[in-house]
Amino acid sequence: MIRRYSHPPREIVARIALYVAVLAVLVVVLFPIYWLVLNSLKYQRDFFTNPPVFFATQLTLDHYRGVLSNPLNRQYLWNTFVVTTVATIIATFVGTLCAYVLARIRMPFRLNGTLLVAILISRLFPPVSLAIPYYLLMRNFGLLDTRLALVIAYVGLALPFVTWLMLTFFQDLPKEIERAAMVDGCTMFQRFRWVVLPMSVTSMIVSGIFVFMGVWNELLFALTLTALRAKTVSVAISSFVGDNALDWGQMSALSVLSFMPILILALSVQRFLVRGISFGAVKG
Amino acid sequence: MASSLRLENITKTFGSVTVIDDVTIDIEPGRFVTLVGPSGCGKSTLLNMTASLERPTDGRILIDGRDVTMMTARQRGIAMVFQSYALYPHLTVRQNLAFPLRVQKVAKPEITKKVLQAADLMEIGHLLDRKPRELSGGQRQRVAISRAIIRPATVCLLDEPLSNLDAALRVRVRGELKLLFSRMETTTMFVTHDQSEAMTMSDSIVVLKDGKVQQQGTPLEVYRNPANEFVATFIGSPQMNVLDARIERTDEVVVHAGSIRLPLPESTLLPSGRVRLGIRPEFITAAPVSDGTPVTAKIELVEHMGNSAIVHYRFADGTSLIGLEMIDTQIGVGWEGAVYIDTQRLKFFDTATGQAI
Repeated sequence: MIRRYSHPPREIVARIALYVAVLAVLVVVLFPIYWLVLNSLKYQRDFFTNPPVFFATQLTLDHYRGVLSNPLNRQYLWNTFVVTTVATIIATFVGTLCAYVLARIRMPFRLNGTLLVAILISRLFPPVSLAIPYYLLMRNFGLLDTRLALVIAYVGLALPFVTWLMLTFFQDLPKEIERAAMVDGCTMFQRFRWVVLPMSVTSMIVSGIFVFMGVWNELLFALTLTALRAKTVSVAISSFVGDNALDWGQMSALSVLSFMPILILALSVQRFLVRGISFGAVKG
Repeated sequence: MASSLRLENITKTFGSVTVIDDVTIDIEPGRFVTLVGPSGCGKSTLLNMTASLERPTDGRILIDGRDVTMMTARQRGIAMVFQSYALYPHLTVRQNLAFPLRVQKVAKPEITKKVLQAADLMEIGHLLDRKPRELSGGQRQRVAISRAIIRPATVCLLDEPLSNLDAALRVRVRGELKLLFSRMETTTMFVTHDQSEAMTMSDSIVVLKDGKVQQQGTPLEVYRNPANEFVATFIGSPQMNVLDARIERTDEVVVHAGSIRLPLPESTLLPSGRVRLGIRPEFITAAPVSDGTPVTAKIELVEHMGNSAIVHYRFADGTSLIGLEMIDTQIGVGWEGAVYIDTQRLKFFDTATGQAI
């Protein structure tokens, strides 16, 4: 006979309270997403009822058809994808190189620390105070409303983040492994390519994911630097809010379409994300 | 063919701190030389400079008479085993072993052959497809050593490779390493803070303190004739007893240390005056010996080691000395009687400089 241990009542109450709390948090976090998805599938007539329709019985894909049949929307999604991918790759790679140098090469006059703070300073400004100078710069270079302008701006915004994240990683990386590579005869480049880079892949993916998510959803710079050709999906969504009309259905459908890639990305790289959150706290 | 190594007047400073102070060490081809000293004595810095991981502030490093001071590790042809083993975590054992050969662009079939040879030699053939994190400490260490010996090296450097192993394994690996390197006839420089490793493994040892060489010689030379008080107490376990003492020359020559009074041979050239007296524990025993001088003492503590015992004696004036009984003694705490000190084996050091007299 296996004896079952019964939980004391106090423990059961505590457990129930815990579940209730978790449920409350889940509702707060998930309800807007549910509402968005529901809206993208509701019939037009269900939008303005009172009380609102929380559980629609009849659903339609009309809004998606409407959104996707408009070539402009496809263009916006494509713009977002291209800009985000290119900016992420460049920022992650350049930021990693930058962090490696700052972590490994001791420059004179405490230049390392100064540079690190300087890199961080750009993150201390409210983004809006940077958007105007960026606008003026891009206008002078004739880059307004180009994807290149967005890539440049996003790389600039993401670099400090990647550099700092990768810096903590490189600082934790045992120096002896690189020294072993030196003794084994590696040049500095071989050392980076064969030893440091393979060991950094996970951390680079982590920083890349964060950058990707940040850039994908970015609105302010996209709004400032683009008009039509380079417009991204986040700008397109916001422009549904017009002065005299608001197309809830299409707006929700485009929103769902735009967060799908992020959702898929997040689910497929979950273990990296968890690692990224505990970055530096617990070493693997 | 083994190479000779010479560190010539090496000095290393970090800012205003001198870590290595004018050190010269000569290592003949094929010898196993150990740098030993307390932590912070600069032994690892010396090793790193030999490996080209650090540059000396002053002085030259010569391998086979060739000045290699400004050369990279690759040009020097050095192999090294690190304290933390420093295996490449993203590579399998096989790839770890192949790495130095791959860097040197050795042909693939040759690499495969050498990896198998090295793995056989260190008995890690069954681990070749594992990653370092799947290995135990002892296995990692074997991989690290294999990686160091897989290619012909002018000098092999070992940076405390045994310190991460448990005690039993350490003694075993110590013997294996000694055997391996004596068979390979590679010139080897070994760094440790453990004097017993230095004593058991080396052809020659270099005792360092505060960045200065205190003494160089074979383990027995250093043990028997320590150059100064530091070496005397650092080498040997249990430690040599060192006491303040006074030499008196009347009709006989006598050394006084508290209530301990020991007659010295008349041929002794020591002048009268204050000295530091050193007595190795094995020359203090409760068993009557013909050439010992009896002194009355009480046993305070006995540490049984099985094959021997460390005995703590307390003398009439409160002086305490440690003795070593080579056969585990039956006498126990509280015993009081004559303790014999071998006056032929006493060491004397200058009170001011600590140098042997």
